[in-house]
Amino acid sequence: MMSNISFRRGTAFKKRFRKERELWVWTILAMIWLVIFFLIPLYGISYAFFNYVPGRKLSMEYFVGLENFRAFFKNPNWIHILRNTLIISGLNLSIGFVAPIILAFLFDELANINFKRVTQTISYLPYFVSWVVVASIMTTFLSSEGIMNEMMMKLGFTEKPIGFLTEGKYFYGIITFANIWKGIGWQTILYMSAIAGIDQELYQAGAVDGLGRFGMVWRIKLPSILPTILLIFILSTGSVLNAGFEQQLLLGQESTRDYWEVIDTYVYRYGIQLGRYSFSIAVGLMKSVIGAVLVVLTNHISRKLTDMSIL
Amino acid sequence: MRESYIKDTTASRIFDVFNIMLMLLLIFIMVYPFWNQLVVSLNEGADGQKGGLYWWPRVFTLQNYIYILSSKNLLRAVGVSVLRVVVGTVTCLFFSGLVAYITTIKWFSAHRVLRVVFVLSMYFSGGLIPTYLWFMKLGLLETFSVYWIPGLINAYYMMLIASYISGLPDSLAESARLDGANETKIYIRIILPMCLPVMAALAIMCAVGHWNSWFDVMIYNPSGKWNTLQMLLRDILIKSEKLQELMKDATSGSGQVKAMAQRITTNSMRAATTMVVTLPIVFVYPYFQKYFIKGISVGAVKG
Amino acid sequence: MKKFLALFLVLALALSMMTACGKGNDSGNGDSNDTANGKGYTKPEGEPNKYGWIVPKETIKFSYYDSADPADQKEEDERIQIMHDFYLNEFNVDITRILYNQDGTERLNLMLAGGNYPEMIVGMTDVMAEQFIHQGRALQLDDLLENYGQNIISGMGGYLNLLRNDKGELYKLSDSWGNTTDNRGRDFSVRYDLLQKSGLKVYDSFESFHNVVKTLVEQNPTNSSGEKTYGFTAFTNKGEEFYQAPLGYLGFLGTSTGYYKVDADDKITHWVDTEEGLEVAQYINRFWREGLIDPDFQTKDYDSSVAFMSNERVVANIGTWWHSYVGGHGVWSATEEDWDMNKRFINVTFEETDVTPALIGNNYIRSNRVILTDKCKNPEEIMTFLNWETTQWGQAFTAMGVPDGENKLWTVKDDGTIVVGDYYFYTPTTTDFNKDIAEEKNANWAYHIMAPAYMALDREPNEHYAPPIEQINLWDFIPDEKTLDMDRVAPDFAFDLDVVARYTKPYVYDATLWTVNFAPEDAETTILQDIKDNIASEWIKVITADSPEACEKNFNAMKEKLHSLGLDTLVEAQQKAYNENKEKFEGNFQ
Repeated sequence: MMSNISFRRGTAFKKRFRKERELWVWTILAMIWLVIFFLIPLYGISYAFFNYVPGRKLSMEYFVGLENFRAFFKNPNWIHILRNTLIISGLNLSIGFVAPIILAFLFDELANINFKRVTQTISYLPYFVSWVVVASIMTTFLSSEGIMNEMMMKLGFTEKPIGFLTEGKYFYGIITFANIWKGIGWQTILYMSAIAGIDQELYQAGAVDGLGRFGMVWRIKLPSILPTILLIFILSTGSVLNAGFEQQLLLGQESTRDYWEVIDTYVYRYGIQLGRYSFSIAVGLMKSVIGAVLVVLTNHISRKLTDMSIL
Repeated sequence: MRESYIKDTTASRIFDVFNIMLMLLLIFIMVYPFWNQLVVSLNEGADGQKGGLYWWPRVFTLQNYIYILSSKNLLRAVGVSVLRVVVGTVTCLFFSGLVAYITTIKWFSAHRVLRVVFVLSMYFSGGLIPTYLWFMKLGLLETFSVYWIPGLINAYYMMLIASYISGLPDSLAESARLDGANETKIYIRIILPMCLPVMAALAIMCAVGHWNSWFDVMIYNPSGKWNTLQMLLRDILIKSEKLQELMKDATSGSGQVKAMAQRITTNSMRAATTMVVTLPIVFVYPYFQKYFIKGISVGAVKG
Repeated sequence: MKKFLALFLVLALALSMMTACGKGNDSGNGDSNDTANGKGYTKPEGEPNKYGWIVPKETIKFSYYDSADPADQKEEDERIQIMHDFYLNEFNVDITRILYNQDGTERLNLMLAGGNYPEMIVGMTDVMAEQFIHQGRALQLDDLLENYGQNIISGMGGYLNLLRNDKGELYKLSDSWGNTTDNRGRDFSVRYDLLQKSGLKVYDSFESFHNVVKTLVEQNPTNSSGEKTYGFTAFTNKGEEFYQAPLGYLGFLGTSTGYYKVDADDKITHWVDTEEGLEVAQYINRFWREGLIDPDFQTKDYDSSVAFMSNERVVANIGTWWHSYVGGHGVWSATEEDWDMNKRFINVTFEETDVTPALIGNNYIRSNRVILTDKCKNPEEIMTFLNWETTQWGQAFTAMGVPDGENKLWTVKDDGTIVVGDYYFYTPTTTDFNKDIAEEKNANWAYHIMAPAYMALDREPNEHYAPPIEQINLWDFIPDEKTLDMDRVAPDFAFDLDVVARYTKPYVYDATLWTVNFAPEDAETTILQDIKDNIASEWIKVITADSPEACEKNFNAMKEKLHSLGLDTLVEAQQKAYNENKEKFEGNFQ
């Protein structure tokens, strides 16, 4: 009896080892690729702790420790910068995150396949229009002689033209609108593909249970793509400190700087443009660490709440 | 999808009407700037500088397009771009998908490590100069390989594909395993075809990413030998941006400033470059779109 | 599994640290001073050819990277082929101009990090030049200049000292130098035809300018499409020129760090700390309160400003003089059928107080640098060529390209006289010829390493030119300021000479000694950026205030804010830089 069991275990183990070996080959290859293209250049992170100048060999005399990190907080505006970053990202992660999902479902409800295809195609066209053009169009639209002000004055909402682009308080709304407008169609692509992958049998089961149209969405489709939604959301939290760059520089004006300066624009204007490379690398490192931590944290919360995890 | 088992109630019909109206509004808001760019691109340059173009060109001309399409090296740039898109997309999706598949094999001991390591790699980077120096050492400068080898495995795509694969029935792979197929074969023969919707969506994103890329061309292939279309056209665009920067502070009208001022390209030219780059995407897109807009039926499991 | 992961990470990090230790280049040997004497280079002998160049027996070959020009290499090579061949055939000099489609500073950093830079770099910023020099990548130029570059030494004069380091050693040169011949800078300008129609006198003070603008807007409330007109709008500077122009009239000097009032001892006060600053603010604010400034001036960019102006939405302009050209008759002369020559903006300069206005600053040594790197094999030959490039012949070739009688741009007679043709004169009816001919047929500006753009050499005016130049082309090089003959100057395309001559005067000030370049690690770098940012945003609040009291309040708020950001440190640094430059100029080194 004993010998039989051990014999069976032996074969199973051999088979498993053979299977795993194949996977191990691929894994090692993938890891090697990762080492080559990700890990080795990673030494660049150390520049954050030195006074680094391109071309100059690094040596201990240039070591500055955490000075480059402190430099970010020495600037009295850092609170504004962080606030703007979090608010704009927050809006992107909330409204800007939900909007494409809703739109994907709306697309899905369209009956005529051709109308659906055309609409979805047109919806992503703004993704390809550059921010320069978008900013220019929006500037004309929102100027004191623009259509927006004209309409609002005609409808009696206001007497004098409103400076949408010149008064800071409107900035968050404007940039969120611009971000959504530009990205929503493109972002529906992933959700549409997720919806397309739902097992047809689930619909039939739902019909048997007497679900109507809304029920289908709420009970079948949404839960089915929930893993995808969660995945994209968790990964997006890692980018919460990336609140945009080009849009701010283009849509932002001198008089609204307190509302549009975010980490990326600040690092560009005060780091790279002024030749302070170590500073920009240090801030980049801070962003990376915070981003990675957030992803792990959000994933943990997700696991606790929904039992779904991406790691 | 209009399944026959969904009841046709009044609420349902009202919703349809609202949906369609919303879509029409959406179409209008989305299409207008694109249409505007088309209009501007078909307008004569000097006239276009006066502004005020909205719905229709004022002085129609194809001059901007002729100028772009007769650029020397355009054909080669287009060729490089197309090659890059094809090679880059196929290899990236194949290998990202392979890694994704491996991370879904629960009995494989390293499946979680693999996933964690790749996810974390998305958030850290060594920076431009270390990467540049390393590529220089590897001999990747001034090559075509630099366009696709460093991008072979995309962690974000990997996660999405893995999520999709997890949603597929386990029996698919299991039955093949029992039949004695090795994992690679399973991946290629069974998993990949089942992932068509997500692969189609990611193919679009990856392809567009490659099509629009110019930064790596500028940094790693500056000699112009491996210029992509975007890089070629960017030459037209960047001149005007850089020169406007210079002109901003120039008070003197020296000969050089003047020579530069004459190189500033008009709005119309810039709009035409946008069109030249975007229209091919719009034409190719429907071929991919059909894979995730109609949906495929996941039916073959029981058989 | 965790053990595996840990082991893997440790190994990988160790591997990357090991490669890191090998990074960074060994500094190139900085002292290649012996190349000047030790290589057996002999000066070429013989008679110079008709262009003043002694043709060497063996071809001189060199290349340089023009980091200020992001043009496309292949396109540019084709364009300048004719010039390249000319130099090769007539001068036996083979020059290659390297270009990259990338921001120069970015590319230079990559080159420096990777150690693959060319033998000569032109058009680099001062900061980048210093970076190369500090890492020992640049050759010392003192001996080279002494032996082969006398023209450069005499041409630059005392200003050459400004390029030396603290020990008096010279490692970098400037890519252009000289006095500016523009006689206008930041100006008040007004629509000439509207002015004539109104019967008003040409303005001669701040008050009368205000009156003129107000009246013109009242008389011309809309353009032909019925859109409202305004006094003026902002160009790319988002309104900052509204204080820069008036301050210039009041004698304030503009430097790279800001505008200052300079007293007799060369001590400076920042303009926000002066009474005149407040007066200027109130002056502009009055325009705003009377609705004479375009309400969208903050959001205007270059294109929309040009469109605004060319659509006749403004009657005047405060700011850079040539903005009112590109937005005004630059467009009208090209697009209108029967363009009336008087339909243009004219600049008028006036002296309101007894202070001499300071309208345009001249930086004698400009802001781009040239270095010869340690990869250069034949610095003596290159210096000889540069020496020739700075002569009048070199400048002529640089600016006008290949002499070619056929194309009527310019040609050289056998006795060495330069004859310029019709296409040299930039007149309204031949707007495109000059550009087409000069760029495509003659390959002008094909190579420009050091030629001073304004022919600032001592010579008799028009000595080599036949026929004598009656009309001066504004855009190309013209005789230097000393020889500028106002009666014969026609910056506005050779018409209405008396108008121009009567109303503009050359108020150029020497801003060279005021230039200061902060290194990236200096505290002043960030302070300067902070100050710039905040002046830009606070100034807008100042001039868009609703009442004179609010304007003054905002002005004082701006002043306080700037001081809290370190304005005093900045002004001190600027003053110190001036004093040091002055010492250097006089040749006093430590």
